[in-house]
Amino acid sequence: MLRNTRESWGAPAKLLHWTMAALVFAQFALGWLAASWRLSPTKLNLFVWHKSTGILLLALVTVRIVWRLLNPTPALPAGLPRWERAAARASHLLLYLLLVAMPLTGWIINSTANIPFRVFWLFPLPDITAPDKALEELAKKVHLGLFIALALTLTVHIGAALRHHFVKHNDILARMLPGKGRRA
Amino acid sequence: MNLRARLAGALLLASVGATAPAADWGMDAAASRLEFIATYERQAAPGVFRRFNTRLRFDPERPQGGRLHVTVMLANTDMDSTDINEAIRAPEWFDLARFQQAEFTSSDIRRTAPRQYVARGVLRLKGVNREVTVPFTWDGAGDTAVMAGELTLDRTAFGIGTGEWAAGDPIGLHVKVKFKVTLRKAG
Repeated sequence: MLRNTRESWGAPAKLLHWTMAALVFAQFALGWLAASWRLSPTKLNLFVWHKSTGILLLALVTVRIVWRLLNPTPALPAGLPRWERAAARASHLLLYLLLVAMPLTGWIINSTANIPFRVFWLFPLPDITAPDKALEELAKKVHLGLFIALALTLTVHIGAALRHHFVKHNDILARMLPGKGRRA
Repeated sequence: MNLRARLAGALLLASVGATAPAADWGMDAAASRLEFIATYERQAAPGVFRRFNTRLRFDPERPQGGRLHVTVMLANTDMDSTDINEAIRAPEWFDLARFQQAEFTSSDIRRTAPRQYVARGVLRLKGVNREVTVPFTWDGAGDTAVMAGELTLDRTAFGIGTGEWAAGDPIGLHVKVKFKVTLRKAG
């Protein structure tokens, strides 16, 4: 099935989840390398990769949110304590917000810094703000703060998934894995 | 006596008129602009030299014997990005700690077509002297004139962008320089 059901995730939802998971970790590495590399053509290229991946992630998260709203969401296992349900809902909402806010603040940095940029060397990204040094500095701080928030939230997200699988022995992790969930 | 003096005066005026030295022109900075267009990832990356000066001795009817001198204060280069403006001060680029000023000097100005001229001379940039030909148009009316033109330079000829930057990627080798200078005849 392509569409989600109340019991399982469809293939598009899984593909979006794991593609974005891989890209987000690649993005952490690219961002860190680009920021710390000495000024050189390599640094500029690392930034092109980082910014391009960020724009790709922004497009993917948009598709993902739309797809999620158009589909049923698989239910959490019965008997899950109220606080865990609330924590799951809050952390998933926070992840979506951060996945939107990270590329947006990056886009603001790129616009305020006024450095020409073409996504994957293909087409220019329009500016969403005017050149502005003060706003650039602020957006850089926010971008870094959001990165820390995202890293922490992902730690909770991954820790919770592993706990569900290995401690509580439910299918929350397994039903997001490729190939599973066809029994529905 | 009176007549002779007037006659002598008239003769003197006539002779001065015949061999009148070309006029000296000074630049109206507020109405003048010197800009350049570099490329980054094959996209235009424009900049402006905000402080420069032009001195010219020139008679559009008899350009030979004219003399053009342009100085550019490189510290006032503005590429509309604080980060880039900072980066171009480095030794790999303008090396502002050692070279604050660029200079073009020409004493070889020729007419190529009506109101079109070329000034051949030497551009001194980052300690390097290179022969450069600067084409320009001349629009003069009375004591005011506008000279405008553009040329393309190879930045590596002047050591602008050394080391890894000397390759044409991601920052292109050719830089277009454009100018539109308003001149006023010096009183």
